[in-house]
Amino acid sequence: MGRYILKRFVFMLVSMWVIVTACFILMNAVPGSPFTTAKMTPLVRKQLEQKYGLDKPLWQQYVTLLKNLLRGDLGISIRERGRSVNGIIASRFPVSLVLGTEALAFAVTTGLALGVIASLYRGKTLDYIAIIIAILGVSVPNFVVASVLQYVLGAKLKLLPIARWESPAHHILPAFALGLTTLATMARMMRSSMLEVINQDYVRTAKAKGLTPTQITWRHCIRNAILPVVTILGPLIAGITTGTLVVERMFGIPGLGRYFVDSIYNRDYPLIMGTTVFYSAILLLMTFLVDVAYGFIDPRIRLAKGRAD
Amino acid sequence: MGQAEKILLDESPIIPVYWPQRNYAEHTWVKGIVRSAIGAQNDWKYAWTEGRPGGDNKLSLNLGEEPPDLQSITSTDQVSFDILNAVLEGMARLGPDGDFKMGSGLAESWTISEDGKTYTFKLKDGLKWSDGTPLTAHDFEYAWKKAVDPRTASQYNYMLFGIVGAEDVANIVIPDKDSDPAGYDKAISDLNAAMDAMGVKALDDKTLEVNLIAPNNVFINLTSFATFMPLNKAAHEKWGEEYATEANKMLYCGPFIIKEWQHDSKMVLVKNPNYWDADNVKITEIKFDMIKDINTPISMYEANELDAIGVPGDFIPKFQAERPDEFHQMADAVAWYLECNLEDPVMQNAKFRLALSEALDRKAYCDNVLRNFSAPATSLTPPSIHGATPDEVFAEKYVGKDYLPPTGNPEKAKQLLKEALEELGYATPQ
Amino acid sequence: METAIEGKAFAPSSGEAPLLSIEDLQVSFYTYAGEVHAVRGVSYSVKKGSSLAVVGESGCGKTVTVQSVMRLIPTPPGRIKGGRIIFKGKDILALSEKEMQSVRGKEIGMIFQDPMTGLNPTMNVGSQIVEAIVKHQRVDKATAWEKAVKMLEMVEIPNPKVRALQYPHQYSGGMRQRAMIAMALACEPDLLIADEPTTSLDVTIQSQILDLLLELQERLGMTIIIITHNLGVVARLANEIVVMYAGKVVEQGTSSQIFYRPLHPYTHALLRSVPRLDRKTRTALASIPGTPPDLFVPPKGCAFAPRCPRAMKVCLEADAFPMELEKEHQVSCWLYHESNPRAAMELEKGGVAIER
Ligand SMILES: Nc1ncnc2c1ncn2[C@@H]1O[C@H](COP(=O)(O)OP(=O)(O)O)[C@@H](O)[C@H]1O
Ligand SMILES: [Mg+2]
Repeated sequence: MGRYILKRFVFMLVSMWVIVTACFILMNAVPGSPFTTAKMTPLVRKQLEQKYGLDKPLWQQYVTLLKNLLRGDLGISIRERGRSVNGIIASRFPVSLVLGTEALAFAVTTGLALGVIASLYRGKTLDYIAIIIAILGVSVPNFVVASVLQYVLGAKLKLLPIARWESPAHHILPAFALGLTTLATMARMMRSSMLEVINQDYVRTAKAKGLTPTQITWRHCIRNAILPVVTILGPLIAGITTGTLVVERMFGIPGLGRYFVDSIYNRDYPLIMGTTVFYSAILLLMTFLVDVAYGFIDPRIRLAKGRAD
Repeated sequence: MGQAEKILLDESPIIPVYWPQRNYAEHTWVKGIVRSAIGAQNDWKYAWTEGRPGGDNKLSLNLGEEPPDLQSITSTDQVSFDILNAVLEGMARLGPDGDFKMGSGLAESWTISEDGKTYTFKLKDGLKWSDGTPLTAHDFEYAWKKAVDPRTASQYNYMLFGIVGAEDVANIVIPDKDSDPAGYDKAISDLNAAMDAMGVKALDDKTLEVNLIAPNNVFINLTSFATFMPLNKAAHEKWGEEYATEANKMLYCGPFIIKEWQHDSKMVLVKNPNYWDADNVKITEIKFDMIKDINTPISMYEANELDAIGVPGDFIPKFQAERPDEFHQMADAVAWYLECNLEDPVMQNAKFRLALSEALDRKAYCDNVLRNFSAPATSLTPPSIHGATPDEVFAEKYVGKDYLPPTGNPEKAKQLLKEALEELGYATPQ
Repeated sequence: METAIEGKAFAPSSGEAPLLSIEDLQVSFYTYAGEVHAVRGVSYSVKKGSSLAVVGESGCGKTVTVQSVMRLIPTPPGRIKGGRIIFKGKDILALSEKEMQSVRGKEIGMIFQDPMTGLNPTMNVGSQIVEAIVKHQRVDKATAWEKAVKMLEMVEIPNPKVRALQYPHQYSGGMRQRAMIAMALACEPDLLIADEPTTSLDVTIQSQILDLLLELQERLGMTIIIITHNLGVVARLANEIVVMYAGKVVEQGTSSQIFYRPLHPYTHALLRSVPRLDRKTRTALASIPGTPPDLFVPPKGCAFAPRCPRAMKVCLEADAFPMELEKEHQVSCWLYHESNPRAAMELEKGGVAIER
């Protein structure tokens, strides 16, 4: 297992390098520069380019970039004058992380529960309710859900704050809106996975042992049904991270998600690179962790991998 | 000026498309916000409220986004300008009646020399920065010189180019210190000399003398622009690159100070007790959200969580119908235009660009796509900019009404395109 | 392969009530295509300490019957439409789900056909046995674990301490079936139901498992119902045999009765399909021509009639009822009905039919 992890880690670093390089190439291939849209004298443009090192040949910029990245320095934002990208990420990411974690926790627990309930009450009212929620969650984009919730629960019923990021009550709507798609996906997957497992022979064996339905559901059904669902957690987490930008924007949440897009509009090279590197690192790490976690949950995989080493 | 604009329109390096309309809603309890077509769009100094739910003389507004740059000499954007206008002040400030009265800003008075080229500003007594240090004419001199200093690389430095010697300062090229130390030292000494020669000088703590290259009857207006606002040298040098990146890393001299600045989330302004006219500032607190989404603020406005909002096109009919007393419109002194990429060989052809301009049905675009009462831009200068007298529309008088066809001129466009293609050497198939 | 066909010693029939008796059980499955009449009035019983074999072609309702005893029929689509299942004096079909839980595993243990899929892949084998023990016996986890290891030892799994910690995928098929047996016996049930316990195993493993079951039965004095296709297994293990066809019992009797005096033509056919090595001339293995009837619309006559070489007119008209032709030996066939003038002769012939 150790060697397997090491191999995955090296793979992660290589992926990172590929991403950085691709990002650098794309950023420079797209027409325009951070200063194209602004009106200024050519001299000032040159001074600014000099200030941010954009006057150097590309290869030199690339080398500098790699050097700085190795030192963990993501540079200074061009649009937000005087702020370091490290500082921006350090102050905004925790917000996104809190929001993302809340959304994920909510989505995963509720989604799994919904899927389990739906499968246990297959063909009954509860099942249909769960299916409807799942369909809505997958097909209605989160900004629509968010708008409706803001309007109904916030503006009309005044039950929850419409926007802002202050008290815990402010977290409810954005976390819900952000998690809904994931919730629906989880519920759908868990339901079908459960239905498959419920008909497995070992569930019948468990029943023949005299276990209660609760024991059977928890120890035998859920435990097995959850396996295939865990594998999609990686991409789902990716979905949640990228989803934060819309939700953060709608609820005025000072997270990092909105920078991901805004930095591109603003051609804020250091911020584009910084957020890309940062998010890629997280995603790569997530995939890696999910992989390892999967190995731990499923003894078959754990051992197979162990032997492969 | 009219001539210049005609050349611009004929050559079409840029193609004006529309003049935007500002559509906003403001609850009826909000009074006296001064809205301007140029510079800072909103001025809360003269505002107050009557019967506001949640307490009077506070405002809750949406800034839309994080102010990108609150360093007055480098700032270029609308959001920052609104904040800077609230927390700093220039020689004059736009009043509720639409002009720049003597004494409306930090200058108590000014005199203009006979030839119109020398301005002498007298500052008010007892002006103070928010940290208590006196605000002097030197703070203006420092700011204006810093604004054109090539090391500042301020995009709006040309705003000061009407001042004697300002452009010379800006044009000095400073080589890299490490690769060319001698050249660097020389450039710095040249720079210092040029700065000394620049036509802005604090004669004493309260007197600032400014020499212009040519008379400029809007120079007083310009001094209210962010780039011309004062900057305290000690504080500016103390914070360096980080100046104005945090609420406690800048000094204030306007009606308000920034009490709290949570980046990308909220900003709280409170009344500045050191402000010379503090007695007449009624608003005690302004809470800003930074919500970029356009739907959310609408809901917040309807729930009385925001006192005023911009109304996007889709919502205009709803507001006109449901909240006629709260819905307002005004023309901005802004033109949106297409900028041609002049590095492209085809785009370098003036007739080709003009053909594009003539082909545009600007009115259809405004009416069907924007749907927010924006007007087709038939010239670059919008009608809200007046000529020599306030009641004369600059563009109409000096450029000509409908200089560009509001609904486009396809015939002319085709003809121009044909000529352009011939000039470019693309044989047109007969 | 066990080949000798010899009856087990006839179990002494005492007057006491059977441990389990199934009376007129009817089970249907309601599918999209219609109602499947899977079990159509099955009755049989098993005495304490006896071992009963249920034989019959695939799909004749053997599994459904025994799963009804455990109330394991998936509902929906299945439904027990009628009948009674009396186990130790109580009607299982009248028990609440909760009461049923203390019957399952504790009073009746069950082994299923496919040991490859019958164990939970994400739980180690020890824990799966412990689960059953903890459920029915007031013991702590550690004791239960010890007992589980002992059970594995009893079913002759080598190195049981280590094996208990392993997962099913680390077990071979035979070992898994042993583990299943250990699990089923962990709470010392009164009745063990083994539904084709060896069908999916290698031939050599099959006989090992059978030896094990035999030995355990003798050692523990357990009552067993074993379902199998393998008449060799039946011969070794069972002292009573139930022959089923198309959701009904067509014949039942002691092992020697069925083997030496099979009465029902279907039983004849079934026995002929078994390879025999004790025969001097090798006769071709007879398969039964035709297919079992459609259980969506069961025939009104004898279900075997269309395939029966001896079918009479009446066989197609009405179904025969069970007739006890000798002690403990019942058959449902018109051949033996008193209305058949040759009934007595048939009965005489029945016993030698197999020698033909
Ligand atoms: N879940 C089910 N749904 C529909 N039909 C079923 C189901 N389970 C069993 N049956 C039907 O019941 C009949 C008896 O099956 P079973 O008892 O499993 O046969 P076997 O004698 O081979 O064990 C078969 O015809 C089968 O198709
Ligand atoms: Mg079966």
